[in-house]
Amino acid sequence: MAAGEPLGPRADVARPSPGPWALEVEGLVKSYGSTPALRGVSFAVPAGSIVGLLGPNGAGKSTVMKAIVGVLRPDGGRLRILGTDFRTDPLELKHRVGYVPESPALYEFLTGAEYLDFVSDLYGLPAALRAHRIGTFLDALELRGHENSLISGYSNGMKQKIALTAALLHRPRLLILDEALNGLDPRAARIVKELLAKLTREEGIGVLFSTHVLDIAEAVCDRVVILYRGVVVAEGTAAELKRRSGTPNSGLEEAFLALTGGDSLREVVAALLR
Amino acid sequence: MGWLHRIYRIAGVLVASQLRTGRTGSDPNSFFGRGISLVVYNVVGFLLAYGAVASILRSPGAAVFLDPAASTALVLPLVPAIALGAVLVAGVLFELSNSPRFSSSDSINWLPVLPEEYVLASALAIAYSYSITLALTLGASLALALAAGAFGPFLLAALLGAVGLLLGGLLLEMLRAVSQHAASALGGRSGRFTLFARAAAILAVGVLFVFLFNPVLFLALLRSAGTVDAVSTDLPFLWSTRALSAAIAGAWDEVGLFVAGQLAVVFLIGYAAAELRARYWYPTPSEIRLSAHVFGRRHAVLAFLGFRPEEAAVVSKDLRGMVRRREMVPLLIVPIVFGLFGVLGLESQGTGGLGVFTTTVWVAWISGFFGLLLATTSIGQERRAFQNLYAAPLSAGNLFRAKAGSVGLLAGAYAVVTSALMAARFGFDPELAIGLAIVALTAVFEGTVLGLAFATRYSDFQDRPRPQYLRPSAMLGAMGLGFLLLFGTIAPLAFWLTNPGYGAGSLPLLVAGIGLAVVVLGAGGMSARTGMEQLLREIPF
Repeated sequence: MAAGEPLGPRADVARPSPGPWALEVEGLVKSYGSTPALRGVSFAVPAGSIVGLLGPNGAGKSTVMKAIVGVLRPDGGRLRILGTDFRTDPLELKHRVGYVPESPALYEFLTGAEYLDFVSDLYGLPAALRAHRIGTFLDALELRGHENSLISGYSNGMKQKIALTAALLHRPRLLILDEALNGLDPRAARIVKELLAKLTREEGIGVLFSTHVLDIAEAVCDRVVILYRGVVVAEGTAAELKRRSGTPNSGLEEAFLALTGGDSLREVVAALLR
Repeated sequence: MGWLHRIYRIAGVLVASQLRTGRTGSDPNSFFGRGISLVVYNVVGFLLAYGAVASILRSPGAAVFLDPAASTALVLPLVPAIALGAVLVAGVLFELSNSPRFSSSDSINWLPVLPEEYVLASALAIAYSYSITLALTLGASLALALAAGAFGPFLLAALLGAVGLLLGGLLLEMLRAVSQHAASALGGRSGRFTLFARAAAILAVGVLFVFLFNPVLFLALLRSAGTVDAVSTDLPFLWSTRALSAAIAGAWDEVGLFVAGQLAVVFLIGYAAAELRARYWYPTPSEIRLSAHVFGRRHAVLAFLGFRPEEAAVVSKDLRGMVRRREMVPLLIVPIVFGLFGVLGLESQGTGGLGVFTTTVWVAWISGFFGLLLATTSIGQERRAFQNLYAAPLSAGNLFRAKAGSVGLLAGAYAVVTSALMAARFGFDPELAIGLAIVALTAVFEGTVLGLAFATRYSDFQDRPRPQYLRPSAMLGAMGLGFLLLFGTIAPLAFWLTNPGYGAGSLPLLVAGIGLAVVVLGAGGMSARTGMEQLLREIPF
């Protein structure tokens, strides 16, 4: 363990001013067979902010996100989305949530335009509005000209752009982005980052954002939650986490490694070279 | 012997892929996830089939209607043909379902494996996976052969049956490569016509393949024309049959000739399959562009049929997928082949009472089977894109109606068109033609709800290397139950259709048929709806 404060959820870390929460996760528990994936995960996403969910592979980030959007059924705990328990009216809440999964599996036999039209149908978007919004996204993400080709012919980055567009078309109040910037070119990544910042600041939506690229997390997220082996081990702003981990002058990566047991890295590399 | 080990390892992986289909939550090392479990299934199947036929032979009075020697002479030569036919039909339905998205990125393509090694391994895996058909056939044949004192020919039938399975696997590998090429041939073109042309090309290749190389269908057609012996000598894939006929007759020099010929055919087919694999394994990337899209176009026909907009969106997507997805097109092959077989094979029944009965049973059963087949695969064919529907605001009821709708529309159209064609060909009067279509549509609806009841519980969402749409055991269960229930409904209705004027005498048949249909539709529909609710509680992958 690196120098710094002990691991574990901290009640004393100052949360942002209590306002309407976009998402409240309390004591979330989930197991796959006999393997525990989440062991009492609690955190919250205030409306109008971006919260980063960080953690090493297998920490449970995607499981948390899937439980939030109703793809997985948690074994225990409570989920409140926009102030409403998820179980109260899941269909109505799904109308207000956007989700980009870790590996977007799109219908590859549809064209990009047909896929976005299909998603718009599911969300009940009026025809004129969807044409306008889809057109705007196609232009902004440089997909114009490709929209009538089959998705099977798209690159991974183009598929990611389509998945992002699909998640944003219906103007959700809560966005769940699981590694959503993976594969995007720098221009598109910048556009998405600025779009998220604008959507949170001006429209007050809440964003839960997972990534392995800690520079992006530091640049984009108002707060960061670090998940390790199914438990929240740290929560706060990037500056707070760096201070707690005893690496105040380093990047978030050092803090992340310190908080998730990365202090043995040199020994691991040495063993690999032996 | 490195190549032998590689073939063994690849075949093992492919068999494991099939056995572990849909078992994401269970222990992959359990007995049922290992290849050895198939040996147990085969032994059990063999013993059950043997026991069933042996008990019939031992029953009092069996000698009156069952002559072991004549039955052996009839059944034993067909053993390799049945094995080959079963592998071809099942293989076309379930073995060509790998998405072209993964055809080029399968690890087998960049690992140091020769095309010949892969083709042989894949054919062996297919042969082993479907060996239960041979075990059942051999079990039944052994009882007859022992009674007829033909144990020697039985052993030869077992050997040639295994050769038939392998031949089926090799032919499927050929079909896999050729259909891949057919799918790629129009790459780079644009427009909807290209998509239809591509689907039609794959369909044509598949239909031709199954029709040409399926000896069960071929023999049935030849038998109806009374030319089996004359033609079987000239057809290489029937040489096993010819060899077994010669063995039963004691003409062992002919046996040697035809067995050697059959083995040479297997070698040649294997060589051709490896060549085709080497040439066409890499599909041309799909570059098809469609004309400009009009957003928010209303699904007027689907709305007229009562679908809500979100349901219509799913139905429309599914119908597009049937034409555009290469791996879905094979599902259309078998109903078309059976439809053609019906048109050609039923002619000899004439247009009298028997003709009406057999035509109705055939058309309705194939239509119901088509609905059952599409429904059982309708959830699994979503693959991992199914997560789109989880995150979307769709209820279990929405999804049930959408899936039933897309299957019902496609299979229903098939039922109506086939009924019309058959009615026209056999000169049915309009009332009879409408009756035929109603019975066929009833079968479609039954097949649809039964299939969805299974699909919502046992679908397979894996992408590779040998994806199935439904777990194989569930598929067997669905087909078995579907066969019984469909036949239970269709037979009395067909009989009533043959003799509607019997008055009170035929009324019980009509009531029985309709009653069973109502029960199946009600129970199946409820089961499918409940299954959909369970499915939507948590994503199964």
